[in-house]
Amino acid sequence: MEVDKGKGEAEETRKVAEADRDTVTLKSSDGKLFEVSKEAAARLSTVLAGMIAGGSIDDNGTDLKQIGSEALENVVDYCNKHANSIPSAALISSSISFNTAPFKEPEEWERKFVDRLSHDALFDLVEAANFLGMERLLDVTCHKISEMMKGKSPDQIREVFNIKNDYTKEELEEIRQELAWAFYDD
Amino acid sequence: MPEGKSHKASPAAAPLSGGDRSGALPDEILHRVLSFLPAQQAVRTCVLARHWLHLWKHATGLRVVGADGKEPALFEEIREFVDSLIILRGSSPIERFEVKVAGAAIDVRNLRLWVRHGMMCNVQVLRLKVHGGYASQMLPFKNPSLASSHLTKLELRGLVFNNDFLDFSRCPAIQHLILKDCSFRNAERISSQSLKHLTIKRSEFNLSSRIPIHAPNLASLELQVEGGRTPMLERMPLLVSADVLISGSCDYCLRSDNGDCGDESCKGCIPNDTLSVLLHGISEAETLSLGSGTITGFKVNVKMSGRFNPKKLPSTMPPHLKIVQVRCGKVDKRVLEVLEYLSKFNISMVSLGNTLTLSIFLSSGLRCCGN
Repeated sequence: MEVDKGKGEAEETRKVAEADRDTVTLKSSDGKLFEVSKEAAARLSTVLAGMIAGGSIDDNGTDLKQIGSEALENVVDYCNKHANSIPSAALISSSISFNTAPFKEPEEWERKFVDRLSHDALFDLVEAANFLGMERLLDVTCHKISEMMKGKSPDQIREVFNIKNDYTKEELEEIRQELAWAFYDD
Repeated sequence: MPEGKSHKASPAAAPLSGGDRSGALPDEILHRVLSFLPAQQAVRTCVLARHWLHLWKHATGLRVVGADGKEPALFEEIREFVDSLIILRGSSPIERFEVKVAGAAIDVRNLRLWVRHGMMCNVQVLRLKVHGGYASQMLPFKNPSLASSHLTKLELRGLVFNNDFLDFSRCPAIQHLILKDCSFRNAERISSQSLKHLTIKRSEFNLSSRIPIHAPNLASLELQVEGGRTPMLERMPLLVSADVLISGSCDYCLRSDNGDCGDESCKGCIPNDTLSVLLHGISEAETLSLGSGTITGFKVNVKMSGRFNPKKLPSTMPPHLKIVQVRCGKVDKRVLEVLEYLSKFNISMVSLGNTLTLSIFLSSGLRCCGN
């Protein structure tokens, strides 16, 4: 429902004059620019927080050569949605830190956010979150990948993720015997 | 086979769509993915491909739960698996460790061993939920108090605590404590300097003595007492919200409404010269909800009544209290006394959560709204 909102806002705010901005401009590997709230970026990404604190943010677009435009758009979108989802009371509470808090089940909007992603977009986002040190987004995306594995047989998992079985039959048999305790109800 | 080395692949080097994206992820990310799976399934990923052979040993979370990930696992079925798992995975750090088991013959020695493994692996969030063989069965969890500088959150269910287990002086980082369906009959105290959030639900306390809750840094308290003596709250100056519900309790005096019938041997009474049971702790809260679930309703709230005597203002004034919700069946003399008492504080509005519609203006200017 608000999927495009983040993007639209980003394009609009880009036109706003520089100087004392409360946003930062990020540049994807393919040269596209994205605007994100400085507050949200600093709160959700340890890497961006470090860059903001260290003054290494480029007003003309901080280069993130490792992240493609689609993944970066999702990152920015996530930051905006996250900022909107937190009750102001919770923000005031200084104990909230999204980079150190223990894992909590993804919230409804977070589930929807990752559910709509294609397989490749999900993995791109995992890599982007990892690169930017976004603990919460990493948890939410990794949780989604685990959901795609849950309850599936090894064959089904290989199929979902295109994993090539490079064991020999003998090796597999050996593993199953060694780890018989883990295959107790097979 | 050697353990897989971390693949720090850049997206440029990642296979095109249709390739194995999971294999290109750094191992640390796959460890995180595995942390969300039930442990049985996480271990079994070792057969996927060579790269996955040892990944399960480093999963950052361990979930000993039923195969669906939600229901408890049957203890008898899973015991050998978990014993083997904790030996073979080694001491790789665990952020989250969840044990959710059911069964009629749960051996507490195994549970203690598993918990020790978690402590050894610097677990930060520990959940131990025991679903006994029949509805109200709880498991005596004779365990020395935990010692860990890493533990930040502890959730326990279905346990009977021994005397000093809930003394967290050796867990200096613990902030969240959630105890549900537990018995505190043998516990001597709940004590933690660092605790910020405490939830106690559906729990029974000692029938003859009050256990103190010492948590001077608590910010939120949710307390449900379903039997025994209401615990004694020590000072909690940082408390922001408190939700206290006393139900199914015999912790009140049958002969007197104000909590002091004059009989010194009466265990339900709180004589005027003793410390208040709840008020020391909750008087600083900004949001407070007090409730009682017995048929006699408000009578149970005389637990506060050692301080509720409108003729004597208590020494513990609640200057931060902003909202008081009084829930009662009907507004009678006792409720009016409470309202009059509350009006002596700087409280501007009191809402009554009953079905009556009323508007009372007491002489002191307290505005009272019913719904």
